[in-house]
Amino acid sequence: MYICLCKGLTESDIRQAGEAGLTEPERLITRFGWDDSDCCGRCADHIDCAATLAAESLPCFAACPARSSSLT
Amino acid sequence: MQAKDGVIELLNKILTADLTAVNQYFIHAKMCGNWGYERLHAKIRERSIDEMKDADDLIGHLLYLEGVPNMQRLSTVQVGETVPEQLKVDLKAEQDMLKILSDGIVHCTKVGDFTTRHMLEDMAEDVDAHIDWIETQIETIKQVGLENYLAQQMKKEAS
Repeated sequence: MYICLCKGLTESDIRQAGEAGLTEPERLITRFGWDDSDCCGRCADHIDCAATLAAESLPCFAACPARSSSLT
Repeated sequence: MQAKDGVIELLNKILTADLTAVNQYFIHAKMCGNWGYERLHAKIRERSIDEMKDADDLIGHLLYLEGVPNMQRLSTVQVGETVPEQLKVDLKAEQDMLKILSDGIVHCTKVGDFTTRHMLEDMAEDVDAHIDWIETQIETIKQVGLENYLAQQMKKEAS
């Protein structure tokens, strides 16, 4: 899915950012230019969804003990 | 003519969904055309234009009821990266549209606005037909596989 039409970004772009360790909302906003004046700003409104998607792509996410303990 | 209670808001809500759908289907149609899927391009483009015609009727009706059509507001345009993704988000858009229309029909009956109700019923019928078409495509993909399905989309349907 395209998640940002202003910048032409897809889910995989966000995942790649996550893999590179970018998961904090502020860093994602700066990285993708969601605070630029030519951006509609909807993505910045839903930044938590993007941050979750990025966090899921962290290399350690699948093996995270905190995650598995919270699931059980 | 003065509108019945809540009808202007209702029509503007449907207009927003319609204008969003015009854009969403149009980008999907153009993407399919760009990939060489002529049949899908023609089908989805036609659907986008149908939505524009609905918007035309809604705007006319809103003005007739002395309301102000809100051309400014759009919902989020959901764009799929692949044909199955596009079908999925278009199906969701149509299902949401059907819900808004059904609620609208109930409201119009309650306040006794039968002209608006009739108009919404016609639109709901089109939405039903489109949902049926999308569901058929999704089922066909399941049965014949995505590659076989897409190979059949390269030619325009004989009309």
